[in-house]
Amino acid sequence: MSRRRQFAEPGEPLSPTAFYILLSLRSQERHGYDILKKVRDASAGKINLGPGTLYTTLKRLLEAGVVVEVGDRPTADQGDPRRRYYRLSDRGHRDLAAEVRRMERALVLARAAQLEPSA
Amino acid sequence: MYRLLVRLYPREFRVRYGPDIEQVFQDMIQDHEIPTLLTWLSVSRDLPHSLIQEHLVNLRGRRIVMRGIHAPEPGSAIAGLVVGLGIMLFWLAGRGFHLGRLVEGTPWTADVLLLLPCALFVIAGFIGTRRTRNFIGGVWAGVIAAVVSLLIIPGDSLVFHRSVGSLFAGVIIVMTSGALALLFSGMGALLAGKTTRRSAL
Repeated sequence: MSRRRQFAEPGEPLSPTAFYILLSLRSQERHGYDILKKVRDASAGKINLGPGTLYTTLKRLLEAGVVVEVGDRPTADQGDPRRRYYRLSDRGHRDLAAEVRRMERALVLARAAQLEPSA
Repeated sequence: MYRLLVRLYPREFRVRYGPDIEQVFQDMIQDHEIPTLLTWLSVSRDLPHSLIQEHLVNLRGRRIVMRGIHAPEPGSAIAGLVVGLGIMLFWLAGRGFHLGRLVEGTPWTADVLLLLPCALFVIAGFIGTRRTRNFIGGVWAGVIAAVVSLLIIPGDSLVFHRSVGSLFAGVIIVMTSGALALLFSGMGALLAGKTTRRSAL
Protein backbone atom coordinates (compact mmCIF):
# COMPACT_ATOMS: atom_id res chain seq x y z
CA MET A 1 0.00 0.00 0.00
CA SER A 2 1.53 3.31 -1.01
CA ARG A 3 1.55 6.24 1.36
CA ARG A 4 -0.59 8.27 -1.02
CA ARG A 5 -3.20 5.52 -1.07
CA GLN A 6 -3.18 5.48 2.71
CA PHE A 7 -4.79 8.90 2.67
CA ALA A 8 -6.87 8.28 -0.41
CA GLU A 9 -9.04 5.63 1.18
CA PRO A 10 -10.76 6.76 4.39
CA GLY A 11 -10.84 4.10 7.06
CA GLU A 12 -7.35 2.79 6.40
CA PRO A 13 -4.97 3.19 9.34
CA LEU A 14 -2.75 6.25 9.64
CA SER A 15 0.85 5.96 10.79
CA PRO A 16 1.31 7.05 14.43
CA THR A 17 3.35 10.06 13.24
CA ALA A 18 0.65 11.19 10.81
CA PHE A 19 -2.07 10.59 13.42
CA TYR A 20 -0.37 12.74 16.06
CA ILE A 21 0.39 15.51 13.57
CA LEU A 22 -3.27 15.60 12.52
CA LEU A 23 -4.28 15.55 16.17
CA SER A 24 -1.99 18.51 16.93
CA LEU A 25 -3.61 20.53 14.15
CA ARG A 26 -7.18 19.63 15.09
CA SER A 27 -7.91 22.65 17.22
CA GLN A 28 -5.61 25.33 15.83
CA GLU A 29 -3.08 26.35 13.21
CA ARG A 30 0.51 25.63 14.13
CA HIS A 31 4.03 26.11 12.76
CA GLY A 32 6.64 23.35 12.52
CA TYR A 33 8.22 23.52 15.96
CA ASP A 34 4.83 23.99 17.61
CA ILE A 35 3.60 20.79 15.92
CA LEU A 36 6.73 18.96 17.05
CA LYS A 37 6.21 19.98 20.69
CA LYS A 38 2.49 19.21 20.61
CA VAL A 39 3.15 15.73 19.18
CA ARG A 40 5.73 15.03 21.90
CA ASP A 41 3.34 16.16 24.65
CA ALA A 42 0.28 14.38 23.25
CA SER A 43 2.16 11.09 22.88
CA ALA A 44 3.63 11.42 26.40
CA GLY A 45 7.12 11.60 24.89
CA LYS A 46 6.67 8.36 22.92
CA ILE A 47 6.96 10.14 19.56
CA ASN A 48 9.91 12.49 19.36
CA LEU A 49 9.88 13.83 15.85
CA GLY A 50 12.98 15.33 14.32
CA PRO A 51 12.73 18.20 11.80
CA GLY A 52 13.33 15.87 8.83
CA THR A 53 10.59 13.37 9.69
CA LEU A 54 8.22 16.21 10.57
CA TYR A 55 8.53 17.83 7.15
CA THR A 56 8.64 14.60 5.10
CA THR A 57 5.34 13.65 6.81
CA LEU A 58 3.88 17.16 6.43
CA LYS A 59 4.77 17.06 2.74
CA ARG A 60 2.79 13.81 2.30
CA LEU A 61 -0.15 15.23 4.24
CA LEU A 62 -0.11 18.41 2.15
CA GLU A 63 0.05 16.42 -1.10
CA ALA A 64 -2.87 14.28 0.05
CA GLY A 65 -4.90 17.41 0.85
CA VAL A 66 -5.29 16.42 4.48
CA VAL A 67 -3.34 19.44 5.74
CA VAL A 68 -3.21 22.90 4.15
CA GLU A 69 -0.82 25.77 4.56
CA VAL A 70 -2.32 28.88 6.11
CA GLY A 71 -1.85 31.98 3.99
CA ASP A 72 -2.01 34.56 6.81
CA ARG A 73 -0.08 34.13 9.99
CA PRO A 74 -2.15 34.18 13.21
CA THR A 75 -1.92 37.67 14.68
CA ALA A 76 -1.24 36.44 18.21
CA ASP A 77 2.17 35.16 17.14
CA GLN A 78 4.89 37.78 16.97
CA GLY A 79 7.67 35.38 16.06
CA ASP A 80 9.64 34.94 12.88
CA PRO A 81 7.48 36.09 9.93
CA ARG A 82 9.10 33.43 7.73
CA ARG A 83 7.38 30.65 9.68
CA ARG A 84 4.78 28.68 7.78
CA TYR A 85 1.57 27.68 9.52
CA TYR A 86 -0.52 24.63 8.82
CA ARG A 87 -4.08 23.58 9.59
CA LEU A 88 -6.34 20.59 8.95
CA SER A 89 -8.45 20.68 5.81
CA ASP A 90 -12.06 19.48 5.89
CA ARG A 91 -10.82 16.19 4.59
CA GLY A 92 -8.20 16.11 7.34
CA HIS A 93 -10.94 16.50 9.96
CA ARG A 94 -12.90 13.65 8.33
CA ASP A 95 -9.81 11.39 8.10
CA LEU A 96 -8.89 12.06 11.72
CA ALA A 97 -12.43 11.29 12.87
CA ALA A 98 -12.39 8.10 10.79
CA GLU A 99 -9.10 7.07 12.38
CA VAL A 100 -10.48 7.63 15.88
CA ARG A 101 -13.57 5.55 15.03
CA ARG A 102 -11.29 2.79 13.68
CA MET A 103 -9.32 2.85 16.94
CA GLU A 104 -12.54 2.69 18.94
CA ARG A 105 -13.71 -0.36 16.97
CA ALA A 106 -10.32 -2.02 17.52
CA LEU A 107 -10.60 -1.31 21.24
CA VAL A 108 -14.10 -2.80 21.39
CA LEU A 109 -12.81 -5.94 19.65
CA ALA A 110 -9.81 -6.13 21.98
CA ARG A 111 -12.04 -5.80 25.04
CA ALA A 112 -14.40 -8.44 23.70
CA ALA A 113 -11.41 -10.75 23.33
CA GLN A 114 -10.36 -9.83 26.87
CA LEU A 115 -7.12 -8.32 25.59
CA GLU A 116 -7.18 -5.36 27.97
CA PRO A 117 -3.72 -4.26 29.07
CA SER A 118 -2.81 -5.22 32.62
CA ALA A 119 -2.79 -2.34 35.11
CA MET B 1 26.82 22.04 10.21
CA TYR B 2 23.14 21.10 10.22
CA ARG B 3 22.61 23.38 7.23
CA LEU B 4 25.17 21.32 5.33
CA LEU B 5 23.39 18.10 6.27
CA VAL B 6 20.06 19.51 5.07
CA ARG B 7 21.68 19.90 1.66
CA LEU B 8 21.70 16.10 1.39
CA TYR B 9 17.92 16.05 0.84
CA PRO B 10 16.67 15.89 -2.76
CA ARG B 11 16.79 19.30 -4.39
CA GLU B 12 13.03 19.88 -4.73
CA PHE B 13 12.35 18.91 -1.13
CA ARG B 14 15.28 21.02 0.09
CA VAL B 15 14.16 24.11 -1.80
CA ARG B 16 10.60 23.82 -0.46
CA TYR B 17 11.22 22.67 3.12
CA GLY B 18 14.94 23.26 3.80
CA PRO B 19 14.50 26.68 5.47
CA ASP B 20 11.63 25.31 7.62
CA ILE B 21 13.73 22.31 8.70
CA GLU B 22 16.59 24.64 9.64
CA GLN B 23 14.15 26.88 11.51
CA VAL B 24 12.79 23.96 13.55
CA PHE B 25 16.32 22.80 14.34
CA GLN B 26 17.19 26.33 15.49
CA ASP B 27 14.06 26.36 17.69
CA MET B 28 15.11 23.03 19.19
CA ILE B 29 18.60 24.35 19.96
CA GLN B 30 17.17 27.52 21.54
CA ASP B 31 14.64 25.59 23.63
CA HIS B 32 16.20 25.51 27.09
CA GLU B 33 13.94 22.66 28.16
CA ILE B 34 15.82 20.29 25.83
CA PRO B 35 19.56 19.72 26.36
CA THR B 36 21.58 20.43 23.21
CA LEU B 37 23.07 16.93 23.29
CA LEU B 38 19.56 15.45 23.25
CA THR B 39 18.66 17.62 20.26
CA TRP B 40 21.69 16.33 18.35
CA LEU B 41 20.87 12.75 19.33
CA SER B 42 17.32 13.23 18.08
CA VAL B 43 18.58 14.74 14.83
CA SER B 44 21.16 11.98 14.32
CA ARG B 45 18.32 9.43 14.47
CA ASP B 46 15.95 11.50 12.39
CA LEU B 47 18.22 12.64 9.58
CA PRO B 48 19.33 9.29 8.02
CA HIS B 49 15.77 7.93 8.21
CA SER B 50 14.12 10.95 6.62
CA LEU B 51 16.92 11.32 4.04
CA ILE B 52 16.50 7.74 2.79
CA GLN B 53 12.72 8.04 2.84
CA GLU B 54 12.69 11.26 0.85
CA HIS B 55 15.21 9.96 -1.69
CA LEU B 56 13.08 6.84 -2.20
CA VAL B 57 9.98 9.00 -2.61
CA ASN B 58 11.96 11.07 -5.09
CA LEU B 59 12.88 7.95 -7.06
CA ARG B 60 9.21 6.92 -7.10
CA GLY B 61 8.40 10.42 -8.34
CA ARG B 62 10.75 9.72 -11.21
CA ARG B 63 8.62 6.67 -11.95
CA ILE B 64 11.54 4.43 -11.04
CA VAL B 65 10.48 2.21 -8.18
CA MET B 66 12.60 0.39 -5.62
CA ARG B 67 10.42 -2.70 -5.28
CA GLY B 68 12.97 -4.80 -3.44
CA ILE B 69 15.10 -7.65 -4.66
CA HIS B 70 13.22 -10.24 -6.69
CA ALA B 71 13.88 -12.47 -9.68
CA PRO B 72 15.01 -10.51 -12.75
CA GLU B 73 12.28 -9.49 -15.17
CA PRO B 74 12.64 -10.34 -18.89
CA GLY B 75 13.72 -6.76 -19.68
CA SER B 76 16.67 -7.02 -17.27
CA ALA B 77 17.60 -10.51 -18.42
CA ILE B 78 17.68 -9.56 -22.11
CA ALA B 79 19.66 -6.35 -21.48
CA GLY B 80 22.13 -8.23 -19.27
CA LEU B 81 22.53 -11.07 -21.74
CA VAL B 82 23.17 -8.80 -24.72
CA VAL B 83 25.61 -6.56 -22.83
CA GLY B 84 27.41 -9.54 -21.25
CA LEU B 85 27.90 -11.15 -24.65
CA GLY B 86 29.08 -7.79 -25.99
CA ILE B 87 31.69 -7.51 -23.25
CA MET B 88 32.87 -11.08 -23.86
CA LEU B 89 33.15 -10.56 -27.62
CA PHE B 90 34.95 -7.25 -27.12
CA TRP B 91 37.43 -8.86 -24.75
CA LEU B 92 38.13 -11.84 -26.99
CA ALA B 93 38.40 -9.57 -30.03
CA GLY B 94 40.87 -7.48 -28.07
CA ARG B 95 42.95 -10.58 -27.50
CA GLY B 96 42.64 -11.66 -31.14
CA PHE B 97 43.60 -8.29 -32.57
CA HIS B 98 46.20 -7.61 -29.88
CA LEU B 99 44.49 -4.40 -28.76
CA GLY B 100 46.46 -4.48 -25.54
CA ARG B 101 49.69 -4.58 -27.50
CA LEU B 102 48.69 -1.59 -29.66
CA VAL B 103 48.77 0.72 -26.69
CA GLU B 104 51.41 -1.15 -24.73
CA GLY B 105 53.90 1.07 -22.96
CA THR B 106 51.40 3.93 -22.67
CA PRO B 107 49.36 4.75 -19.57
CA TRP B 108 46.21 3.78 -21.52
CA THR B 109 46.92 0.06 -21.77
CA ALA B 110 44.61 -1.22 -19.05
CA ASP B 111 42.25 1.77 -19.01
CA VAL B 112 41.27 1.46 -22.66
CA LEU B 113 40.39 -2.20 -22.28
CA LEU B 114 38.40 -1.55 -19.09
CA LEU B 115 36.57 1.60 -20.20
CA LEU B 116 34.30 -0.05 -22.73
CA PRO B 117 33.09 -2.87 -20.42
CA CYS B 118 32.40 -0.24 -17.74
CA ALA B 119 30.45 1.85 -20.24
CA LEU B 120 28.56 -1.28 -21.29
CA PHE B 121 27.62 -1.96 -17.64
CA VAL B 122 26.21 1.59 -17.47
CA ILE B 123 24.21 0.87 -20.62
CA ALA B 124 22.96 -2.43 -19.13
CA GLY B 125 21.80 -0.64 -15.97
CA PHE B 126 20.17 2.10 -18.03
CA ILE B 127 18.30 -0.26 -20.34
CA GLY B 128 17.34 -2.63 -17.52
CA THR B 129 15.83 0.20 -15.50
CA ARG B 130 14.07 1.79 -18.46
CA ARG B 131 12.54 -1.53 -19.53
CA THR B 132 11.39 -2.62 -16.07
CA ARG B 133 10.80 0.86 -14.58
CA ASN B 134 12.60 -0.44 -11.54
CA PHE B 135 16.01 0.52 -10.13
CA ILE B 136 16.69 -3.09 -9.15
CA GLY B 137 15.89 -4.14 -12.73
CA GLY B 138 18.90 -2.11 -13.89
CA VAL B 139 21.19 -3.65 -11.29
CA TRP B 140 19.96 -7.12 -12.27
CA ALA B 141 20.87 -6.37 -15.88
CA GLY B 142 24.39 -5.45 -14.73
CA VAL B 143 24.75 -8.61 -12.66
CA ILE B 144 23.57 -10.83 -15.53
CA ALA B 145 25.95 -9.00 -17.87
CA ALA B 146 28.79 -9.66 -15.42
CA VAL B 147 27.95 -13.37 -15.14
CA VAL B 148 27.70 -13.75 -18.93
CA SER B 149 30.92 -11.81 -19.48
CA LEU B 150 32.73 -14.31 -17.24
CA LEU B 151 32.53 -16.61 -20.26
CA ILE B 152 35.75 -14.75 -21.08
CA ILE B 153 37.56 -17.18 -18.79
CA PRO B 154 36.68 -20.41 -20.67
CA GLY B 155 36.85 -18.43 -23.94
CA ASP B 156 40.43 -17.38 -23.21
CA SER B 157 41.29 -20.95 -22.37
CA LEU B 158 39.63 -22.50 -25.44
CA VAL B 159 40.62 -19.97 -28.10
CA PHE B 160 43.93 -18.59 -26.87
CA HIS B 161 45.00 -21.39 -24.50
CA ARG B 162 45.39 -18.90 -21.66
CA SER B 163 44.41 -19.93 -18.17
CA VAL B 164 43.52 -17.73 -15.22
CA GLY B 165 46.54 -19.07 -13.37
CA SER B 166 45.23 -19.87 -9.93
CA LEU B 167 42.00 -20.16 -8.00
CA PHE B 168 42.86 -16.97 -6.15
CA ALA B 169 43.25 -15.05 -9.42
CA GLY B 170 39.92 -16.46 -10.58
CA VAL B 171 38.18 -15.30 -7.42
CA ILE B 172 39.69 -11.82 -7.82
CA ILE B 173 38.47 -11.62 -11.42
CA VAL B 174 34.94 -12.70 -10.44
CA MET B 175 34.80 -10.24 -7.55
CA THR B 176 36.16 -7.36 -9.63
CA SER B 177 33.71 -8.11 -12.39
CA GLY B 178 30.83 -8.20 -9.88
CA ALA B 179 31.89 -4.96 -8.21
CA LEU B 180 32.25 -3.15 -11.56
CA ALA B 181 28.87 -4.49 -12.64
CA LEU B 182 27.11 -3.29 -9.47
CA LEU B 183 28.80 0.10 -9.52
CA PHE B 184 28.35 0.96 -13.17
CA SER B 185 24.95 -0.65 -13.70
CA GLY B 186 23.76 1.23 -10.59
CA MET B 187 25.00 4.44 -12.21
CA GLY B 188 23.13 3.53 -15.38
CA ALA B 189 19.97 2.84 -13.38
CA LEU B 190 20.20 6.23 -11.65
CA LEU B 191 20.80 7.90 -15.00
CA ALA B 192 17.66 6.20 -16.32
CA GLY B 193 15.75 7.69 -13.37
CA LYS B 194 16.93 11.19 -14.18
CA THR B 195 16.19 11.02 -17.89
CA THR B 196 12.80 9.40 -17.31
CA ARG B 197 11.82 12.29 -15.11
CA ARG B 198 13.01 14.86 -17.61
CA SER B 199 11.02 13.24 -20.37
CA ALA B 200 7.97 13.04 -18.08
CA LEU B 201 8.21 16.77 -17.49
